[in-house]
Amino acid sequence: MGKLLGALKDPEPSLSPIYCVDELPPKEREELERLAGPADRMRTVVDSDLLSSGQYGRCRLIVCDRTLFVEENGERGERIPLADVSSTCCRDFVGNGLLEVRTRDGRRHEVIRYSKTTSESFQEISEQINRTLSLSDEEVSAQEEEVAKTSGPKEAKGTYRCPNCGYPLGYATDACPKCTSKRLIMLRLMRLTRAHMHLAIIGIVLAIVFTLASLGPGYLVKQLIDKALKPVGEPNLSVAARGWRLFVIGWILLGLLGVRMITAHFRIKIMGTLGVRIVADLRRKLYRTLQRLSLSYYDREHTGRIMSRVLSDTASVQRFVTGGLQQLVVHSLKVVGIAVVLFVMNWRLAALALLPIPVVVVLGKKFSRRFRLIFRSVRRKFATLSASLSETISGMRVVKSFAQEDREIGFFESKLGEVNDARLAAVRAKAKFSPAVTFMMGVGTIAVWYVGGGQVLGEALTLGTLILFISYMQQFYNPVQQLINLTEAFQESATAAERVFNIMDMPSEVADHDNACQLEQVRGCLELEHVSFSYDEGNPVLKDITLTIRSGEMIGLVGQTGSGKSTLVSLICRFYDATKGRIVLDGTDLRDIQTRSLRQNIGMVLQDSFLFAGTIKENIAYGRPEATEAEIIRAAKAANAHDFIMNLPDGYDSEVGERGVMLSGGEKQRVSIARAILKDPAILILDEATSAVDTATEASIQEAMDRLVCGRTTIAIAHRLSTLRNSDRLLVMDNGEIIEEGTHEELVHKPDGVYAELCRIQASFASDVLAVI
Amino acid sequence: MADDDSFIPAPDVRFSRDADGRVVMIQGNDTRMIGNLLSAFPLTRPGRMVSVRDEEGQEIGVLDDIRGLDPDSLSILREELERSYFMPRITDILDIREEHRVVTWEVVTDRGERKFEVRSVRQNVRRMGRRRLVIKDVDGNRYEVRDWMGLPALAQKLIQIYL
Repeated sequence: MGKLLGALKDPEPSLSPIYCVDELPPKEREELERLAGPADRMRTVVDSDLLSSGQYGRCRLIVCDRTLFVEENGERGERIPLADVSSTCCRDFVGNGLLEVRTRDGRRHEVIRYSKTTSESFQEISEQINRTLSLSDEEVSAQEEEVAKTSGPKEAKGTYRCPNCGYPLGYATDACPKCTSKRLIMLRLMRLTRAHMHLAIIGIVLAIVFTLASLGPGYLVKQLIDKALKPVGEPNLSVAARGWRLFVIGWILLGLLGVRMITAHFRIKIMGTLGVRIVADLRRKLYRTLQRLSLSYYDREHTGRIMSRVLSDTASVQRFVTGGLQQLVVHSLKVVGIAVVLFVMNWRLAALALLPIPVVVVLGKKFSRRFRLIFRSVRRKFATLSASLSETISGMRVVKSFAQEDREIGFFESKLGEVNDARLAAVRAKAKFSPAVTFMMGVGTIAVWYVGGGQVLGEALTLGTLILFISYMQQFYNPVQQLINLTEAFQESATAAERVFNIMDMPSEVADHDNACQLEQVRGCLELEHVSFSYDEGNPVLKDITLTIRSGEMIGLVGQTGSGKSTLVSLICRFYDATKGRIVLDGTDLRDIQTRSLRQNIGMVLQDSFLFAGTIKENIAYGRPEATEAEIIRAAKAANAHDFIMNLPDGYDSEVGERGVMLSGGEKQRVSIARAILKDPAILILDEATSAVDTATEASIQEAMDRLVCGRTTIAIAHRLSTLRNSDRLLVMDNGEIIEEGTHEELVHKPDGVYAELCRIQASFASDVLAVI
Repeated sequence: MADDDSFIPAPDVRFSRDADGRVVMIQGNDTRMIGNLLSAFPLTRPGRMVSVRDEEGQEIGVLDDIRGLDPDSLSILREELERSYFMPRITDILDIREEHRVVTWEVVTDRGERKFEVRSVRQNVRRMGRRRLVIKDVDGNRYEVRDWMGLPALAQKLIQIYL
């Protein structure tokens, strides 16, 4: 009991699972001191959420002055004197980790287990202990290597959490959806409307007029009945007079109808225009944002998702602004107006009429929530369906070559089935809800007829007033229902708007700071100083690279896939910023240079020579649209592309097709080389295509490359022996580090050299091929 | 880098036809038989950057601008370029009809009346600039509409859907 009370009264433990012993409540401290023994003083406590048995539970690692031990369920595990400890390390597995302590007698002790949630704190404590043990750097890295061999696969760190509310975000730069209220989003959307405020105001005014014109007929019908058809309190009125009144009222009704029609016409036009303009603004801003976002955003988001943001989320916002907003105004006005009128006329009947309303509202809210969930599920499933469809279509080559068409059909059908099931669930829910509401409202109407009828019979109420009542009642229920539906639409477009704003708010990670300078007269001298980089924490792709590239030098990067070659090149182009260290161009840190200016001075010929849909001329001149025809032809000639281009019927004006589909691989390569030649950059990045082309094309591409590279600082991710031989210097990379450096001649003769080995393999392969010929 | 010798400045050369009507290029004291004259930018710069090829199909050089030639040479070149890239201009549209995604055009061109079929409108009706269209029919023939807004009213209406 005391323990329970104690637990209740305990202050909230600090968010960090590592804490000083002093922060413990006294009772716990006493218990732990008992376990520690009299000879020792406790220092640090680290909480874990996983027991040694693998059950969830709390246990703790206690580090004292002289020993360390683990406390589990009030009992002490093995106690290890710190003097005996040679090192500690954390071994990571999937879903959990272990803290291991090595003692001087060579034994290894698995001290405590922890789940991924607390793994950071155990890393930290392990480092702390190692520091106090004064382990040297070599010992530490040697140990790390060993540990890595016996650990499980490394996984990236989990999620980042919103600093405000602790909500787990997908990525550090995401805005927290919990912290941004839906109201704020709508306000922001309204601000976007500001530019078109006049349209919005006119639209609302028209909505008001429309509403009034819709309510008018009800009253006129009352007058019609009470003054013309069955006059009350005027027994001597002649038929002619009544006929005249009928006539007048008829015309007024017609007039009102006309007013309604005209206001509706203009209202639809204006609100429609407003919606189209707002969405156009939104899409424009969104596209601009997309262009300035850094590459890491594109790395982690699917193209399909980005496209759906720009196209369908904005459409959802448009639908709301065009339709939803004006409906909100119209229906609210109607509801309020009618309720007031009804109560003024006959409060007893009004109360009866409005009785079903609360019931309808409650039912409506319940069902609307359910609808939303079902709808969300439908949307999710549909998104999965379309994503897999787009994937299959773009990967059709693979599907066909592995003859998996039937399997793909099976997948599609099962996903389609899920979408249909979800849609049917929505249909079923609606089938329950709508008729039930209609029933309730029907009940209200009948009640009014009954009671009101009684009043008419008793001459307490005119027939006309009763009819007016009924007709207004009918007009009342509909807007109420629509308003309930609107909250749904509101939620949906608020979510869509949120996603759109999320993107617009994203900071570009590789942003220019205010004093970034422009480059002039680039010599192309690059220096990398202790550069390290990881795409996500915990997985370094580049480790402490230091390198100098002289102006005009050609560097060949060699290494297996994953050794970090492409990453190094991406950092030079500043697609990402180095996590540690810096890169300097002609004496200026890359981060102090305007990104635009930097990239204007770097040319790239990549493996996948991406060409935009457009003419060959436009593609070659992509980096320099002001280039003259003569310059374009010169560049194409240098790239050995002019001849095949002239063989096309439209010459340089030929369309290249989406992604250059009209051209062969070798032709695309040469167009992209021409593009780089025309740009004439000081620094060139080459990522050689590994795919083979026929020897004739290969030779002409090689020649084109040679012309391109001449005199420029070039960094080539090289595969061809010829490129390697031509390089001024070769850098052999492995696992994020440069392991060999030198010219081809030096390295190929190095005994036990990695490069030498690679060459032997390639040469033997080549010779096999030659033998066949 | 390709040197500028591959470009031929127009004032430096003359063109004429020999007895058989084949084109001959005279540059200084040099006379060469010409096999082919092709425009490098036939749609956007028809008279500029003309690739001059010998009878083997090898490019001798690129003529920078035919307007720099003397009148006789200019007319010869115009004739040759028209032959190597034949594209009549549509002056009026009589009818455009679509059936099963093949569009049949009945037009009046500066070479006479013509009827042709076009498939895959998206690929084969190219917009070049705001008012210009280049149409390719199923056989590979090409037609040009210089300024669709300058066409007669009915023609404009017919063509609007295909813009």
